[in-house]
Amino acid sequence: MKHNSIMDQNHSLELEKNFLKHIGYEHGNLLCDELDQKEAEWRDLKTPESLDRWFYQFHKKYKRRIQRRKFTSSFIKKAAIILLAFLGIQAMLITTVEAYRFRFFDTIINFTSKFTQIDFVENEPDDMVNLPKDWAGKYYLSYIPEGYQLVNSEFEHGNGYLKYENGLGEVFRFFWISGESTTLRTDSDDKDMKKVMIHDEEAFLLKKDKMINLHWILNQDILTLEATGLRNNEIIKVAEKIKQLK
Amino acid sequence: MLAILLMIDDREKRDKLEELYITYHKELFFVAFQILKDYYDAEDVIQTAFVKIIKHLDKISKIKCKKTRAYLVIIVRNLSYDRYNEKKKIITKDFSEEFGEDAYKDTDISLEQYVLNLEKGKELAAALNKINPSYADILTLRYFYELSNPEIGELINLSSDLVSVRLHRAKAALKKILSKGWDYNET
Repeated sequence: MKHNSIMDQNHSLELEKNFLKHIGYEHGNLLCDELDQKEAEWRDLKTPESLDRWFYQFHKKYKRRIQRRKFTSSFIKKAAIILLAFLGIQAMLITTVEAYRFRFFDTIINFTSKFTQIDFVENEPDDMVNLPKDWAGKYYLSYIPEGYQLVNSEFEHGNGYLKYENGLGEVFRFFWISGESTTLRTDSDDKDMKKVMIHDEEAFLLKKDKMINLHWILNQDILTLEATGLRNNEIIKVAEKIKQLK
Repeated sequence: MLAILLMIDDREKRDKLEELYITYHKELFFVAFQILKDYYDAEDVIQTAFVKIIKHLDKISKIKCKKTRAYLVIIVRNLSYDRYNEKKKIITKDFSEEFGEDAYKDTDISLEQYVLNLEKGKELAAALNKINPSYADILTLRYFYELSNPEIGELINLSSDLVSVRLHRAKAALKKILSKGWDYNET
């Protein structure tokens, strides 16, 4: 019932509006009719010249204002487009420079690798940049701690050995022993032993004085990392980044 | 100077304001002069009217039509009344003086009255114009041209409140006309 009364009210208001609109329409017609009847009087009426002059000036100012507004709006649009283009170019340049920098350092690293000069190469884990040119061992390290250089390497019958030094008397070695039936046994006497995970494999981290040993099994091979100047997390990182030669 | 304007044959290039002036300036001047009986005042009113119209040019879609013509006439004649009253220091006669104070308290028009009187719109408009041309004009600006009260006020130099009051009184006057019958404008 309430809905009906609101509906009736709205309907009534609409009717009133339309009725008054109709009155307005008729009023407008009457005004025009009245002027038409008096056309003879106003058709030949001489309006003051000053009115025409005023209008001419007024119109000129109006047009100028419109043009200024148009110019301002088109200028703002153009400025916005230029700004966007500028920002876009700047972003492209930044991207290009970044990409170029990467390429540049890649070249340096590749170049130095030819001379077995191994530097920090964290950005290039997939590249065998820290190995001798003719390396054919089963594994290699894709991450070498900063300052270390390869000083010795050997591989024979599936077993291998890599030795790195940092020039401060600190050494770390990586060696692996191939053997399908080999089980991992280590002497943990007098050493702190901790179990860590290298990917999904359980590993043993043993520490005595400055020496750290990490042993784990990968593809039925026994892998060992031995270091004197590295921290636990550093040696674990080296282990995680060990890759198999394809 | 007008000759120069008229020489512009390319109508497409003329803007709306120029077209309005060229088409209607004479009759608008006539409307103002009829009320004011003074060339300078009439000229002044036309200038004021165009300054005001320019702000509402978007309301005009077609130049040569009755709707636009009546719109301009309403603006000019109301500005002319205003100027006339201002000069003569006349306080406008109110509807209440004609019909009494209570006349505009109730402005509701019944549905039957709308339906029965719809085809008598012309007579009703004429009657309302006779009572007070300003009422008919304000009602037309509000309902036919669909302007808001502030817009109407700006166009014809009235405050928004006064527009509202006059609208109310215009409706009351219309109701009175309806209740008295068509002969009202004949009396």
